[in-house]
Amino acid sequence: MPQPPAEDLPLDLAARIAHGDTSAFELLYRSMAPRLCAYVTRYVGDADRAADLVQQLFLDLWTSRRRWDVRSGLRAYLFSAARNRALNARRHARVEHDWSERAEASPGLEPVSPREREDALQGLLRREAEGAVQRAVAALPERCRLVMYLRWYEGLSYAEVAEVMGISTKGVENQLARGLAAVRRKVGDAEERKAT
Amino acid sequence: MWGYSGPGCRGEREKSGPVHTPNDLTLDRYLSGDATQDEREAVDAWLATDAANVAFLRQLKAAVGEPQPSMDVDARWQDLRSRLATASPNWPRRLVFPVAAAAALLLWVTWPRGEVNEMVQLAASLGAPARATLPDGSTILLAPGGQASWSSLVRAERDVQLVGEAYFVVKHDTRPFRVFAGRAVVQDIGTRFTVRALPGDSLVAVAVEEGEVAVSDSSRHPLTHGVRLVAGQATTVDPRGVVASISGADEALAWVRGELVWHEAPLAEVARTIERWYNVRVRVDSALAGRRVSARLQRRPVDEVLQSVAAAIGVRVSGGEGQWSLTGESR
Repeated sequence: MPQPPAEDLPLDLAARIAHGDTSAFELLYRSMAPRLCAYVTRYVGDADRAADLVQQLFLDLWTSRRRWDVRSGLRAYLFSAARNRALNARRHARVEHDWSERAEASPGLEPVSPREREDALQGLLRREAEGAVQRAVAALPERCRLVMYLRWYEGLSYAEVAEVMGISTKGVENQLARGLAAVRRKVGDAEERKAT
Repeated sequence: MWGYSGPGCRGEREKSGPVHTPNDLTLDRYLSGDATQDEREAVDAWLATDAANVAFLRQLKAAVGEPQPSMDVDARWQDLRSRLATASPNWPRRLVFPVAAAAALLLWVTWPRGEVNEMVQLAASLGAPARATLPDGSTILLAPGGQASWSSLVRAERDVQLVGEAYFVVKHDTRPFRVFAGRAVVQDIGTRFTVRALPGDSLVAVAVEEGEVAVSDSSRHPLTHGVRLVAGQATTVDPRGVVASISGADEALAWVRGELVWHEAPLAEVARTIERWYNVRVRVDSALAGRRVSARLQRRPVDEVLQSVAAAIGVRVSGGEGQWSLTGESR
């Protein structure tokens, strides 16, 4: 079931691009732009808008290619740059978009109030078990879902995710452990309620 | 039974048994592909105990993956390239060489090798394939209606962008030779092969005549993550980048030998192929469009080809002067 992690880019790609190799830049674009677009869509909510942000990012990348500061690798560098732009764009559009209410800035996993929990369970009871996982994931803080996404879909290491999300490596592990535990608990509760 | 059985979840529902629920970070490493072999085996054992565990893990990953927007990489890249060309003086300008429409079967085109990195573009008119030699000495034979582009620099990366169908004979070199077509990338390992990425087709098809190639989704590295094809093998890549299982290459290579080969192909597709190769219009009765055609024909004059196809499936051909129709037998 697990898909292989995203392939690392050729090691010399950043150096080749810094020297003005346009085909290396094209390779970088073709392999990374769709993935950055998918990632940015998670922040801004709209695929076209995300694609525009990614386009501008690559335009600026080419212009500043000699000054790239690629420490823990090109992938983490790109995701990190994409995230900064996505957060900026969202800050500017906050009024328009209500998904920013559950913004990534929310500090980790917040305890769920008993009433919320009751509501959620009632909701779960009404629906098929099929959707329980989906709802449990949707209820996670955005940062937690993004960490999971970068791990499971982009195959980034804990250190890379930490760099992209601006948290510590330990923080990445915490997000994953607490998020997974929360999903398990919710799915387990839904199952238990159904059985009684 | 849904979700979890075993420790690590809630105390009162723990079950004793040899298979334990993997802890959260083990599951994470399993899903991200960097689990150790022991961890993988532990998770696999847990998955094997209950189909609900499999469903849970699948749904968990799927839920985290939503939404998956699609992006038209080709169109976006063209847009970026034109913006870079205006913004950045050293970005290569694009040269377009229209290839004259001609009755000539093959057209040889060679390009000057300057200092400036320019994109060379080759286009084959309908009815006439085009042939060109790349800066490294490799050759491309482009089927009618196709377009290909590459860098004019002798020392540049050997990357070719392709829309349409083409046959490559690659010069051995230390640099990789790659063809980007739709969602696919094909990397040569010393060889002769064809790639077909027709604008209306969702699948990109690759077939190898000699040597070996590696095929993958364009976001991955073909040599490490690709499917290897050797002589006589073919495969396809779908719009999501999934590489299909390996099949025979005979049909896909036929055009290079001057043949037209179809195996259980819908008549509408056969008509499109004939249109490209002969620069004619072939109208197909809508009732016949799905009719299957299996045929192997020499590339003879178009009226003979159409007659053969029509005879093979029992339909009538009429017309001439570049306008043909395939219709059912009159009742």
